[in-house]
Amino acid sequence: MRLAGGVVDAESINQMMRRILRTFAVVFIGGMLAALMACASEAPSAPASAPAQPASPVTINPPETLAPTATTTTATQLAPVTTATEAPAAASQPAMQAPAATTETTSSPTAAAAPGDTPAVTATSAPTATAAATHTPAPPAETPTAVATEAPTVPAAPVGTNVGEIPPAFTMEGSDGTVIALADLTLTGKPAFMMYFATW
Amino acid sequence: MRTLDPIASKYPDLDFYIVSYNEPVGAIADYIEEHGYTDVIPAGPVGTMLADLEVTRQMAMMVVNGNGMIYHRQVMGSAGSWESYFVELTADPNAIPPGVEIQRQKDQRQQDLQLPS
Repeated sequence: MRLAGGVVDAESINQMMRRILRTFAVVFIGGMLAALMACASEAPSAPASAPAQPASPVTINPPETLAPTATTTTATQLAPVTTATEAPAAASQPAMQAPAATTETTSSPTAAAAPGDTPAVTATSAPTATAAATHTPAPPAETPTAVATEAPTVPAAPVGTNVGEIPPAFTMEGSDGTVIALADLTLTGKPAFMMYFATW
Repeated sequence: MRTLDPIASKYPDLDFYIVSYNEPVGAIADYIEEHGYTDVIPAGPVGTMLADLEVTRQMAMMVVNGNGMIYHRQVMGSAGSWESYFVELTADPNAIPPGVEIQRQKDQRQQDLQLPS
């Protein structure tokens, strides 16, 4: 092949083409790398926030830990995530202790209500035992029931002879001479039917 | 008594008293025994019982619940018509008459409404 500058053979043309291709390839690859680098510097916040999402449900209480995860890079993000995973565990322990403290406080009034019991000193050492101890005193629970059993015997009904009223005290005589009073009927707790009749 | 005794046998949780105005208790007891009535109890009024209970007519009937409250009272009529009361008192010996309970609730509401003023 003959050109203006002299004879150029096919081999030299091939070398030139290879050089051109190399330069294009270098430029292209360099551009791609530059683009990737540019994307890498901007994009990591999005993919990094995605893995942070599953960790976010774990972090229930501290919302402050979520804020750094959104702004920092992946390397710095791992640290808040790990602290976030640790934080619930640390928070769960106070959470477990807090109800115990509340039950202790709620049981303390009952302990104060129970006469004669002074479990306040032992309440700090074993709250569950004191809670059981506060429930065990049965005598205070029996006294209201005793009042409740007495209440129906003396209902708040007026004395009278109409339905719903307490009849005035009366006495009847049995066939064997026994006296049956209204109070006897109420003592037995049995309802009584009385039919008054005459033979005339 | 002829109709009352079979009914009384059906409700052993209630006491059925036969109170006579004019006959002595012994006579009533003999009559009951003679006819084989085993589930009614003969009795006679003492003192002013009839006046106190305002029993002024024949065949007055009254039933009191376990607390002594008058559950129902009636003059004349058949004891068979009382079975619904016996059933209710068997289920709950201290039952309060339904009408009385409703009236009490009304009175209570009335009191609650009057209290602020």
